[in-house]
Amino acid sequence: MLTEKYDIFADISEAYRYMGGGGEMDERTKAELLDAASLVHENARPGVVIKACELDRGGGLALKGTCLRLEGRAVEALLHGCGSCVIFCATIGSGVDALIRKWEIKNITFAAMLDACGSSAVERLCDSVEKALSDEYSASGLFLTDRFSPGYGDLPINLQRDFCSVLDTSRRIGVAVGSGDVMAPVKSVTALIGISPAEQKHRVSGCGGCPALESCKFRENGVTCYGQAL
Amino acid sequence: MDKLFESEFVILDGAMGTMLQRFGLPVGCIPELFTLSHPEILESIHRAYIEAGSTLAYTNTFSSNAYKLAGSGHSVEEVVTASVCAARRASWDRVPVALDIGPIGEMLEPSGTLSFEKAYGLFRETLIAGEKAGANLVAFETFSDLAELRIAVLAAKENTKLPIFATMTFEESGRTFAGSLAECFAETMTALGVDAIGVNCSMGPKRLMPIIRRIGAVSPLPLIVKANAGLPDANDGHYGIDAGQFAQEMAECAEIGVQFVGGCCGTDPDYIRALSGIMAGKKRAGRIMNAKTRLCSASKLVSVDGVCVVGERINPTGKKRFQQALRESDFDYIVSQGIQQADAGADILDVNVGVPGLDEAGLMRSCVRSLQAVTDLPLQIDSNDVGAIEAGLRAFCGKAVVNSVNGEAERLSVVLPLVKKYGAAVVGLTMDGRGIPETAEGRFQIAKRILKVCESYGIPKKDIFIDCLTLTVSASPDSAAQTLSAMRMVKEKLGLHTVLGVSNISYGLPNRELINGSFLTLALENGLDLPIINPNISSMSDAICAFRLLKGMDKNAQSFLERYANVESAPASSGVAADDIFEAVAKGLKSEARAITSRLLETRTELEIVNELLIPALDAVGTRYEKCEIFLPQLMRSADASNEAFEVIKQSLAKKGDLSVSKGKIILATVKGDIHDIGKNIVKAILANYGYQIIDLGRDVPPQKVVDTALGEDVSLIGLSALMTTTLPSMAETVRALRASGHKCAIMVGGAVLTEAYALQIGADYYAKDAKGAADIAKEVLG
Repeated sequence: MLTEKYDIFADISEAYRYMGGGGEMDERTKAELLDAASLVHENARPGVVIKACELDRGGGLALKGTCLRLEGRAVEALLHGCGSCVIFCATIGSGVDALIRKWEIKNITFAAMLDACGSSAVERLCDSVEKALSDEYSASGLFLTDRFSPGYGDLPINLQRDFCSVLDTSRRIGVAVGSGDVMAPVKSVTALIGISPAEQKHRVSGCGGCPALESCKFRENGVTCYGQAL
Repeated sequence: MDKLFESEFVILDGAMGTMLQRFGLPVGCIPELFTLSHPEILESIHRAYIEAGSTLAYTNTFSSNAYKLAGSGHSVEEVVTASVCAARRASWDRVPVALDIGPIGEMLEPSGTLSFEKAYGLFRETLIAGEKAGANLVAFETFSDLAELRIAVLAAKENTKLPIFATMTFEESGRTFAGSLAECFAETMTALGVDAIGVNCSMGPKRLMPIIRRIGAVSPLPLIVKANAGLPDANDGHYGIDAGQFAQEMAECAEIGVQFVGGCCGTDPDYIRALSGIMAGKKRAGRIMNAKTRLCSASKLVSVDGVCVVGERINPTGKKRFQQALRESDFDYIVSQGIQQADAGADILDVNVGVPGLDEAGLMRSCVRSLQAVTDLPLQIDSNDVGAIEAGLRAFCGKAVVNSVNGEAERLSVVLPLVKKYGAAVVGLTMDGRGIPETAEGRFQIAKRILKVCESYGIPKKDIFIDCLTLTVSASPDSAAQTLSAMRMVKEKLGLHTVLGVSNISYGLPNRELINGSFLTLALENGLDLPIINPNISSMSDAICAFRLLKGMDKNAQSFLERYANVESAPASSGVAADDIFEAVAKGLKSEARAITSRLLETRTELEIVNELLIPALDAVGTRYEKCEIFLPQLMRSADASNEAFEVIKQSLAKKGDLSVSKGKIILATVKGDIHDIGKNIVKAILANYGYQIIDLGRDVPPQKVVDTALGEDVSLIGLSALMTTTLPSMAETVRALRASGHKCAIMVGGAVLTEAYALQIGADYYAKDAKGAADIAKEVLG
């Protein structure tokens, strides 16, 4: 049912870049990536949990009524002027992990394509959630900030655990956080978006806040991971 | 307690988390700690449910395990004892108390990093504390991964005397988020011998009814439904239905024959009161069961009610390449044999890893785990070694087959208790201490004896498969007829399923495929249910496909048409010359690379092909990659093609008894805590192409395991990978551990978030920017 509501078909150009591709895609790669994207789509069982919370600014930034505290300057800048925010977790499910595992034995190149398409698919899912939220809030005259995730800038990645606890993701969509702060299923994302009465000028998209800025292999090839030329 | 199972209906309680949040528990906090700070509130919640009609109290211990409580400052025993006591005080011990246990909260391997052994230990700790505090039974609930639930049940059975309730949470499809199937859950839990099974959480009662019906059709056990107050809204988490509607929808439980009913998320004492009221006047309907033989993994159910193909290829007997793979713990090779057979139509995979001198139990455990990570077929654990049988049964999640017992009393007495404990089916060979009887009647008598002994262990008739044994027809011309006749007798007179390995029939004869295929068809006509064959041989699979069609087992000829109507025409010529391995690798053409290598082996040695053709071809590809003329996808494709060529070479060497072409060993590991290992696997594929022997330790690898392997195997190059910033510290720890061991080795590290500066800072010798970089480092270190 969520597949109908949200678009999760992988963008194969994006997937090609995720797997270290550059330049024009050759026909064979394009055809194989399209197969991979279809297979990921068939095996995906998308799940989303969303929770809107008022922000509590007494003694640091926190989500009212929950155990979640937001640390770092980046998130503070992002949520400047926001009275509340939305947190969510999105996943394309454990079936895609199993699919990739199987193909890692059968054909590693195709497995890497599936992996890249899985990453793209969960990004598409997040974009769809963001779009739906934007439509909903703009109807009541509110504005959304950019989407921001634990691990971006100085927002600690281990906050994923608290995001998942507050959203009860294990029970609701089957997403759990492991001992290395790694989420399973692997193709899962936690994120937050601020809700503001005024249009947000602060933007986080771009490479500035990315922890992989120095070692980024996409930038070495002259592109960003979201497909823009440098 | 005894009365519990005699009652028409037992009204369970409702949500705990929902109630705690009403009393001020912040969302996302550990609910169990609330018991310690507010025991009186806990007691009042239990009392409210009991007053509303609940006659079994679930304790507030859902996540009382050492993983979830880590850092809370409280021990598992402290929390569990407080919660069990609060529930007991609430009713002055007038209603029994169920120790409530949920999933650990971390995904089990292979999806996550939690190991079988660690999960078992965590459950055991909670279970022992709960029994000691006075719980009357244990209720495992809200499980999504059948493998995890199965570990919990084993821990309960092996460490307590508590009766066991087991419920999982399903989506409307009848699968859990982790992909476990309702019927597989029912079959596996029934086989393990729990006391009641069912569903909880998930959705409202209405949508759960079809699922509990499916479970009830497979299992004779008492059923449980503990439903949510409707579906939660994805945006605000509020539950949709009120107490009255909840009770109305739950009333259907009576017609299905569900005995234990209650509420989950979103319900409160009002829901339980309404439920108790509506069930009071009802009678529990009788159950309609479907008593077929079923085998399963967590996600696939196989009904043995036609012909089921058992794939025989995972077996080292007479296969040098397979033996080498076992010696080198090369599970990828072994598992690929499983995937090939699954793709060729196997329904069950026989697993035999017996090689003299190797630790068979350990290999069986690893092999079963590796196989179930990538295929969903039920397994047949095939061994003479009782330790290996138990290791395989314990590791396999689902209902397996044990291959085999025979008519010997001693063998029966050591294997059957395991078959019963793990709830497997069993193959009985019609032979005993005196050998294989020549006549059909002699074999039938042994089958009869095996049946009798199995039944004395409580193994149901439907789970006993008899193998009437194939002898070589060239040695004794009458033997085929005796086997066929014995099989017919076993089937008709004893009503047991039959299993048979067929290819032995043609030993020593020319055109073996013809004899095998013909004998197979005869055997099927004489009642063979489970042929053990190589499904990759198309004449064998063809014979089965045709048999199914002709016997009316293939509805609308669907399987037959799927198999034959769309046979692809041969691919167009790739335009690669018949001996141009260089071009085949450059273009990444796998089948060409394989074919050309086979041809080249007629005139050149293995080492010549590797050193003079394959490696230069890869180097040329590597150079183009470095010049950005091609990119990683194209580089990997070339590596794939080259791997095909290497596989041909390895097989050729194994046949001659040569060890390998190894140019040296390299350990690869994704560090502790990290489960992203596709990058490491790409590196593995590329390095293997240069003739190195890769010891792949997998992912989430503890530092000590890397050290032990490096020392034990004397490996001088170690590659470590980490994808997450959070797992970089464990990479640093692994490097430290390697250095501290004093073992002389070079360490290369890589991964998306790594930089050269960080690599050097943690004491690594090399930073591998990508797979090609790793190959360059290997050449420098190992030559």
